[in-house]
Amino acid sequence: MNGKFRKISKKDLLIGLDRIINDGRKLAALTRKGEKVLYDYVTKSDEILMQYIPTVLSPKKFFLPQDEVILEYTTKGKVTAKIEAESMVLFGIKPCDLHGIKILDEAFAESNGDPNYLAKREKSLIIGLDCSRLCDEKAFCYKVNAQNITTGCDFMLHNTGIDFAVTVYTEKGAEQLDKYFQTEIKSENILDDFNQAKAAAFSKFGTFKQLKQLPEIFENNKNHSVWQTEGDKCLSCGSCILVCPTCYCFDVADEMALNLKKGERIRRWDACMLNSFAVVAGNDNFREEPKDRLKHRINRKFNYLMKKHGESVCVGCGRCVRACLVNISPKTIAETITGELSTGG
Amino acid sequence: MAKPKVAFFDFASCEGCQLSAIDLAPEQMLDLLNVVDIVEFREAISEKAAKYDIALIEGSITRDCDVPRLQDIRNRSKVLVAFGACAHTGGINALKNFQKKEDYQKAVYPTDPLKYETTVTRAISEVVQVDAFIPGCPINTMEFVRIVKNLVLGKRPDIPDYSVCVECKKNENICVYEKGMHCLGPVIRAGCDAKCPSNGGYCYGCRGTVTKPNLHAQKDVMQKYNLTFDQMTDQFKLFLQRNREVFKNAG
Repeated sequence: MNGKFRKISKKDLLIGLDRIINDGRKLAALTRKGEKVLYDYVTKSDEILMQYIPTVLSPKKFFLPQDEVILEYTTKGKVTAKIEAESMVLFGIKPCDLHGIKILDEAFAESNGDPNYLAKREKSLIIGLDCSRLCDEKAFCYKVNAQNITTGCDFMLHNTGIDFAVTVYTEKGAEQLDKYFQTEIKSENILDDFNQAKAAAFSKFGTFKQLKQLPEIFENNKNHSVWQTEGDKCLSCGSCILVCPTCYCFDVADEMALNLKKGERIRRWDACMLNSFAVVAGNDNFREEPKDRLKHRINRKFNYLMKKHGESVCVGCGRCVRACLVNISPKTIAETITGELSTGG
Repeated sequence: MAKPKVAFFDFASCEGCQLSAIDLAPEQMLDLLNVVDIVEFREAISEKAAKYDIALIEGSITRDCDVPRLQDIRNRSKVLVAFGACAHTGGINALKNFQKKEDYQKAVYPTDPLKYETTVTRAISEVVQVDAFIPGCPINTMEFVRIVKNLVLGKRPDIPDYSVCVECKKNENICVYEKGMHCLGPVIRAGCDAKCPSNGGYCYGCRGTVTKPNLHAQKDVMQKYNLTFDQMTDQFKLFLQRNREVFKNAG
């Protein structure tokens, strides 16, 4: 932007969001449905909550639906792949979830790519909404530096109190910003105040002291006593996996119609903390105890996949901590294993 | 291929599960009847048959005379299915097992308590070999349809073996515990789409526990949320009386 900074007034933001809806595009944002606060499609901008309240599920659900028909078939042998993707705008996505989306983007682009996920991503525009402070005491994004982003959305808004400063990340973001929103170009850095306030709010929180070394540390601590003590507490209810913005394991099932003449292949979210996930053909189970499954889950975040993605695959959103009835937390486990907890780090 | 012969039977139950089974849209019912041949069904037809490919048993076993009848059905059936909570877990009929026999006999038949003989309520798997089960109070109609399809196609019955929490999270429900109520969801088998917690209630456990419930953790959670041991045990009583593991450490 040639050293120039863009801002958008709250009024123009809402007008722009209504333009998106009136254009026939689906707009998903943080909203209230009865007692629930969740990301869902809205029909008017005034249904949108600007103040973040932690949600049960992350925006992952828009790209990787809970149940998705990926194929239709008939018993006569006709097979049709199904890829459904609608033009969609996600508004108000927080930095932790943008990290989550970045990780899913990488995972689903691997080898031949996942056409269903990629088609939905291709047709989506993601508008981030920066955090100026920690959303609650369960969030620990700062532990893995996920409160700040470098990619993951098309453009990001920073609420300065009066206006929203805009950071554009993609060409699509720049083009769509101009298409729907009235912005003002300023020569002074209007982001400074926001950034300073944010840095101050997060100043007392630091990352894991050995963040970069976590994969190695976890690799060397497969027999740490924390797996047993935390595993014994675990209900194996699967909640932590269901709510995780970076868990992407799924199950695939063929379901015949009742007339037994045609059927659908459906993929569904699955969860490695569930006993049923770990059972394989012949009724064997390679991760029979909750501690084995917990070790696997946490190593996926701080070890196996962290090596692959080059950053922690736990984004510290805190959803699993909020969902866990027995207080199992990736943060506590990592702090225990690194020794931060006992040294009061 | 001849259509499999399907029969419904009821023991101690409200027969609500059988009614749920036929709570289908007319076109679904026609599809079902194209796939299976319903040969006995007290709720809908009067015919009888000698042998069955699939026998669906509703109800629990509460009298000695139920035993030979169930064994006879078993002997004439290729696949026998526990149909609904009463057959699967003993259901709410098993609540009487917590009371003295003379007390419940008197409560039910005050003027002639000894008129009907009765025994401890049992799930049908305690009496005969059960090949599959369709859980729930009442059963879920579409789950019934799915299991019938599985059995007709020779597939393993596709009953979820994960907790109700999975479905609560999928529905983005506020956790029942956060709302100040108690819930058996973390150890109870899903498949009901978390119907009770999603509609202002909590999980009573009608679908029985998952294969490996962590009952110690569940009890810890309930105590953490201020339930006394007796109150906690009461929560488990409604549907899980026959689950020895649940009451191992309780009175």
